[in-house]
Amino acid sequence: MEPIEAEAIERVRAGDPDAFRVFVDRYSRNVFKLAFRLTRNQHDADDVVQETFLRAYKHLHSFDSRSSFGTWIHRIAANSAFDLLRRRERNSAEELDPETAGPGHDDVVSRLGFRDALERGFSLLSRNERAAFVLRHYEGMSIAEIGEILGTETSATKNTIFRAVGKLRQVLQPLVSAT
Amino acid sequence: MRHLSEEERILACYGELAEAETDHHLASCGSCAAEVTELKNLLEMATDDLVFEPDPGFEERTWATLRWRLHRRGTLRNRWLASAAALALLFIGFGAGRVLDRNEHERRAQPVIAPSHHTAASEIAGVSGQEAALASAGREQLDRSSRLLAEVSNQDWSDSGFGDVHANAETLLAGNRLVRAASRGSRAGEVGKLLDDLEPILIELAHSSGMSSEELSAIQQRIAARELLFKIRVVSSTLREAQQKRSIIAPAHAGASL
Repeated sequence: MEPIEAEAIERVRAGDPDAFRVFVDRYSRNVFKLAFRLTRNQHDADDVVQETFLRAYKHLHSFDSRSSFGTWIHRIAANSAFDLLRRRERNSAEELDPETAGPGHDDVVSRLGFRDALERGFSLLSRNERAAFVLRHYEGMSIAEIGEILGTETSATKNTIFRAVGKLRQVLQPLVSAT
Repeated sequence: MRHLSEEERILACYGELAEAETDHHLASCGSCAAEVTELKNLLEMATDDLVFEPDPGFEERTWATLRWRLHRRGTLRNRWLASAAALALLFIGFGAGRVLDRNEHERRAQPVIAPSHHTAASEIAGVSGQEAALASAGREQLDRSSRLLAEVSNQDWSDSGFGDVHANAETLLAGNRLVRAASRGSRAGEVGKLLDDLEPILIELAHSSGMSSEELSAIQQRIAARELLFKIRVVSSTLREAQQKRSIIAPAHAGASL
């Protein structure tokens, strides 16, 4: 940990909340990106950022200063976002399952740009699938760490990632083949 | 030779398979190597993701909101301490009341030689020490609730919402619940009943941050429709009068005993 962060932690622990700003300046943007990847919604991502930093502030006494603050806050962010998703129960996979999407699905995808296709692919993922994929793919978390956040065993976590990749592949493959 | 399954290919892409074993197979199996490469390319495309990039003022804005919440957190903690102190006084009053009541009961059980002035004072005032403490705490809660409801009723939500009202409502809720629980079965039941009526409104106010103007307006209408402010003022005024009577009667009897 850099001296400026170690010093900020000491100041916050001594009762100076304004010292916490260092962490907001350094990490809030990336926390937002993680939150946005998980929630797919700007307002929800903003809420997750606030919740994440509040939780971090509240539990700063338990943070081991030898660890990376960045890793720690990203784990808190992932938990906060997942808690929000769990509360909202936004499982759109049932509504948009690719197997029930009907004929012409590939034609539609081929007309969309890659960005739209990826967006559609994400919309096919269940809450757990999206979280598992984002945490593995973008955050580089291990399967064990993801399982801890999702509350699932290793085999179930792996299966969740397999399903997520499978669904995304189904949507993206036509574009790859076409190029 | 066994080919890698789809699952194993995914794990291989993410480096979650035993490397030596995988490398050995992929080096000797063109089919699996092609599959893994294709999948890797596909997943790499997903790296060009859909993240919404916040504007340059994002950190400043985030801190402004967070700073307010962190400072409010400290203020709230102080408020909770104040509430806890008030409730501690309530329970001390309760304990004292119970002791007084027991003493009175014991005195009554003994042959009466001379009238107890303290007992007479309590009887004249019509309440036990325990109930007097409860009534006092109930009145305090009602007065604070009244101030909050008046503030909400008179506020123009179109400008800034209900501001800090939700924090005050949270604090009131906790205190009201304790008073309600304590007042069950006592002569202060009327206060408890009124606090029961208040609870749904306070819960709504405690969650009022982020509400739409229509929702805020609906809360104002519910406060008016239930005539809560009027009821609180009537009960609070009755309690105040009863307290004043007690404070006049009790010293008079205390003086008589000298």
